[in-house]
Amino acid sequence: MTAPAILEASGITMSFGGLKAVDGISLGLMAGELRCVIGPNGAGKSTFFKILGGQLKPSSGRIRFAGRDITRAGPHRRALLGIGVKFQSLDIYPGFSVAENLMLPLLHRGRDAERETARLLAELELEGSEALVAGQLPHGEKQRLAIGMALALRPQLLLLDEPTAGMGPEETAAIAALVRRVNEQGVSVMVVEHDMAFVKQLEAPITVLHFGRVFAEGSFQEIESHKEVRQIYLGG
Amino acid sequence: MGRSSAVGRRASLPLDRIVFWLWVALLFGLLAVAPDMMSRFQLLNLSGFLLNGFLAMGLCLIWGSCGILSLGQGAFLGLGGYAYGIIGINLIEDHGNTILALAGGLAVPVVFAAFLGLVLFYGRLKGVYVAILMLVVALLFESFLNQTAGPGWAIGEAHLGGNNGLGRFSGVMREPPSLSFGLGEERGLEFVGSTRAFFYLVSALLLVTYLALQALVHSRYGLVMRAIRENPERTESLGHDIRLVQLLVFCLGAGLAAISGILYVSWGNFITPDVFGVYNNILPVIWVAVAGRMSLTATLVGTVFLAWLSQRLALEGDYALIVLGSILVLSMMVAPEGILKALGDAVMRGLRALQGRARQGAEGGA
Repeated sequence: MTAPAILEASGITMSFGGLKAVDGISLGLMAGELRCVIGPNGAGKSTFFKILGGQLKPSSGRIRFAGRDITRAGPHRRALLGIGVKFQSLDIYPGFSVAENLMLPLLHRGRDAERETARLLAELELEGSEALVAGQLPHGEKQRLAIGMALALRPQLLLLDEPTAGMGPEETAAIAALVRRVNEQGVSVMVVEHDMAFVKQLEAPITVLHFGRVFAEGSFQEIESHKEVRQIYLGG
Repeated sequence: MGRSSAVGRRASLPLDRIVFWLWVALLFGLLAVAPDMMSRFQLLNLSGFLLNGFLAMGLCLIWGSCGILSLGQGAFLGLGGYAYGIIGINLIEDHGNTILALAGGLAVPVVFAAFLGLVLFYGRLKGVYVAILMLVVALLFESFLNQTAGPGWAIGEAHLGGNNGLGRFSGVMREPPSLSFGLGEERGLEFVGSTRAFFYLVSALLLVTYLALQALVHSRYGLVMRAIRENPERTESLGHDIRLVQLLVFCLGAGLAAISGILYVSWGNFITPDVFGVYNNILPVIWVAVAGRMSLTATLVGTVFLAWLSQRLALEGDYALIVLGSILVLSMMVAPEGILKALGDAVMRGLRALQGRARQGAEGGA
């Protein structure tokens, strides 16, 4: 028996004037699945990501989440429905403390918030840092905190846009381990990334975008040996 | 001098609290004894300076805490004042009090702000567009009211009076009444602008509003407001309806401006379209920016001082706006977050350093 689809994007198109940044992408994610979306610069990855997160409304196409049409739902509504997002930019409040950063998505929880903050600090390996000003954390910890803020919503689906940007190999491995751990806990995860070392560590199916369309799909080994993907993405 | 919001300095939070409550006690004491140390004229003036505090704290809240710069808060002050004045003129003889006028003075600008906020925030307007649109709205009110001089421009007994406004200059029998409470024909408590009663009313209201706003900005709602100021898109993706929060804060700011407007009319028994003008819309921005837009304490102290300075400068000639503008430019260069805020932060840093040294001394001694 196959798992039900948690996310179904069908025929998503996004035009900016005459430019089609996303051109009819259809992509599904099963409940509990971990998937990477890769592609060269200008492939439409970030635009597609913003459409899934609700920051952009598509020119055409439908998005269903857990069986519900969310095409016109705003970002806050999607967050409350169970979609956690971490954008490409560093998504923390640098002037706030670590605890305040984690509290923001937890404010809907009421009394549960403090216990949940403690749980997340442990999950993110940030115990003892709650009183620190978030902007003073090392880069890797900032990224972990940003992911933690998305996790604080207790999402069914976690969307991550380049979660290892600017990181060294050790920090990248730590993020990969965190993402796998979260996925093993039952959270569906979609990662938009171009760091192939990170993608390899996730050991997940890959969707390749090119010129706003789905270009190829397969395992890391299949994508790595795909001749045309190598040409457009891996340079050879 | 206000309580620090950064949990990053949690270890020194008790010190912040002690300083905050000492400051509140000092403020309370100063306001309590001020009438005994002043002439009736000085008290009248001080009341006039203090009543600006509501307008300024409202701007501090929407701009400093929530990131919405409005260059047209005078619109809400004016609407509150006019609504209070018009209802007051019409009902004071029948009711003997201004309770309905007070309710109308609050309701009209808040409802108008709600309508305007729906357009602004649900239309996703932000930044400079909100600021300019608000100024335009205020100037439209000024232009409209300036041409209401004829006898046909009256609402009941209240003649709008063109650029003479509502009041004794309009050549009508009734001027906007002072705030008075009590039921029936017998007037109860009346708060005439030059009296101790009015001063204490403004002071008490100001202190309560200040404490309530402090509680708000340091609450979980305050955290969301500050998050919207720092990064609205991210805050939205964390499940907060930022349009609703902005709308509510905007209405609260309008309500506070309306309180200033109502008290202003009650204080002087007049109001003119000038309150909607550029000068009266830019002035609060200067007060809040120079003092420190992210601190209610700095805003309150700075507003009273700068309002006093504006009056002093106005007595010397037409230099007030030039001098205040220069102070603004200077403060933006020296302390972009506001001069009083920077001073308060420096004092707190000094106190924390002293506290740290005292702790070290105590540990060393042990």
